[in-house]
Amino acid sequence: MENLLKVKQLKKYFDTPGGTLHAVDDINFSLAAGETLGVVGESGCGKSTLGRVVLHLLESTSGQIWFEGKDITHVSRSELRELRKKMQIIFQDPYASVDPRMTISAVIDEPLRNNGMKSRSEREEKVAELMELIGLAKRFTDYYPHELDGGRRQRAVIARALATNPRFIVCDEPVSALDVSIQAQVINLIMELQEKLRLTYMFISHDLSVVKYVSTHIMVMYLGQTVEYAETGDLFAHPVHPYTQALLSAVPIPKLGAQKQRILLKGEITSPIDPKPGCRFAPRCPRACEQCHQEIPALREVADGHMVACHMV
Amino acid sequence: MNQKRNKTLLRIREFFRLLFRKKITVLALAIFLVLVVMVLLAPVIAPYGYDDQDISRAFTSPCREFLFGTDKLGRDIFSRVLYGGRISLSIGIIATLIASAVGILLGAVSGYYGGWFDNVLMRLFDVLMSMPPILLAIAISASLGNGIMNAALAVIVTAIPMKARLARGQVLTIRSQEYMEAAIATNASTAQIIFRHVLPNILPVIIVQITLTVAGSITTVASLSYLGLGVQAPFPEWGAMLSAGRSYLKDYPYVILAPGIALLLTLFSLNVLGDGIRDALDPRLKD
Repeated sequence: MENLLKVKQLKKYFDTPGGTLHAVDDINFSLAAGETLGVVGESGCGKSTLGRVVLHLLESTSGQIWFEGKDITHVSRSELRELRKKMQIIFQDPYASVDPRMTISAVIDEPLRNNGMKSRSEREEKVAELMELIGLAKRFTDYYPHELDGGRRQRAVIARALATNPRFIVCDEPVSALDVSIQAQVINLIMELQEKLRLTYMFISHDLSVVKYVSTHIMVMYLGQTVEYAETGDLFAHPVHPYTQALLSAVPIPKLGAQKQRILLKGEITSPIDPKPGCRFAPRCPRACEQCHQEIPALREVADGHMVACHMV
Repeated sequence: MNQKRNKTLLRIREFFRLLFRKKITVLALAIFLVLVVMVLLAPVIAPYGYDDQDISRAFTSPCREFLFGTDKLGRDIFSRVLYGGRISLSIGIIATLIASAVGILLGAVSGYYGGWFDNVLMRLFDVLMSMPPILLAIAISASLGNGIMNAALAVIVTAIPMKARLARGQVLTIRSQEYMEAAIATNASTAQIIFRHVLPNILPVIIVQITLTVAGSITTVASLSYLGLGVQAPFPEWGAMLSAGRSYLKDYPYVILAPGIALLLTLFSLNVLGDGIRDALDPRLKD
């Protein structure tokens, strides 16, 4: 299948008073049209930064990004405008990501106005169409965001992202701010839309059960680096990296009396500012050896399409 | 769209309901409106012109003919207070509006873009704000020379740093909101972001500040005139009238009574009104 998005040696460093923060450090992946890449990792591992760098909301430090077969690492203003119609983002917090002084229709209308749809009636029609698509009743048109619950607000945010008919959407923890009962609805909506509109997703989350449900492929990140990448089924069946194993062992099993061996990680996440040489996970790894503290393990294929960065496997 | 208009109307009505919840705010608004109307209608209401003199009737006590008495040149104080209010209020309001427009624009741009522009501007404003405002106004006014325009200019320059600071802080808060990023992701231009997202969101705070600043500007103009730097004779201005009456305070206290009370009422009503608007627009802003 054609690769819609390809990322090679992508890096994003931030200069902080304490040193250089390696938020995204040498990430590689490719994503075929219609697929969903789940990106998991704990808070601060750079998964949101990765999404924003891909969308050009943040400038990359180095590396390359291809979209629809074209190198988009460095683009002109007008190219970026065209690009942004095709790449969108759904934010985590539906309370912060909509302007509190705009009605729901104005929120959904904004991308239409910004992208040169002049006629008012045409825009109104499109807004109505989008609201129907994401399942928001017509009566909410003139509601203000604070008058809606989180789920409905998130639906409006999704409608805004869909307004320019994008092909690729970064979902940045789209359900983690929602009630559990609403989460399922929104996830199902996101998946229905994928099928209906042939969308490609990069789905960022720290909730493994959600990621397992929506993704075709999963990338596990730790401190800005990929530690494991595989197809979803493969990853859950045969996790190889010690970090992935620890993560998966923490997923609760919805069954009474289920016994399971949890791998408890010791210590804290190390600082991403000027990281020491060696495997980033080594200080917490139960299987770390001398080599792990010396060299960064390269990402290599251990089975068909299953990549791991670990010296010990 | 019709429903939307109704909603806006509802919001406005809700604002006034909250505003009028406190009796004192209603009183302040009433006082201010009466003052404004009287001052606007000065040529109609005032029984005499502001510089009609009758030396033979200097220092007449308040009576039916001269409501607040006459000054040392036999001019009717009531008429002078009315005409003086035109100058005091208009300088206060116009200077505040100009200062707000310039200050908010500078502050918003400074906060939005940051960088060296922000640094240079803020250090400059730090210097201006390190001086007591009235001293600064006196310094500017004295170096430019006497006159209404220069006094107004002094008021404007003194007020700009405060406004810029306020706007900058507000913009910084809003800038970090996720909906700004969302707007960028949907190809919003900088102008669209500023006018559609930034300004509407900082407006409540700004409106309150403007109301309170009008009072401050009137005080500054009056102070400058009192010191002889602002409005010059024969034009009446409340501060100038206070200054002129000062020497006769012991024998004819009513000379300063009327301008003093007018000034007092204006400042009182504006300050109370500002507090009321603040509470009505955003209850969280209290204290």
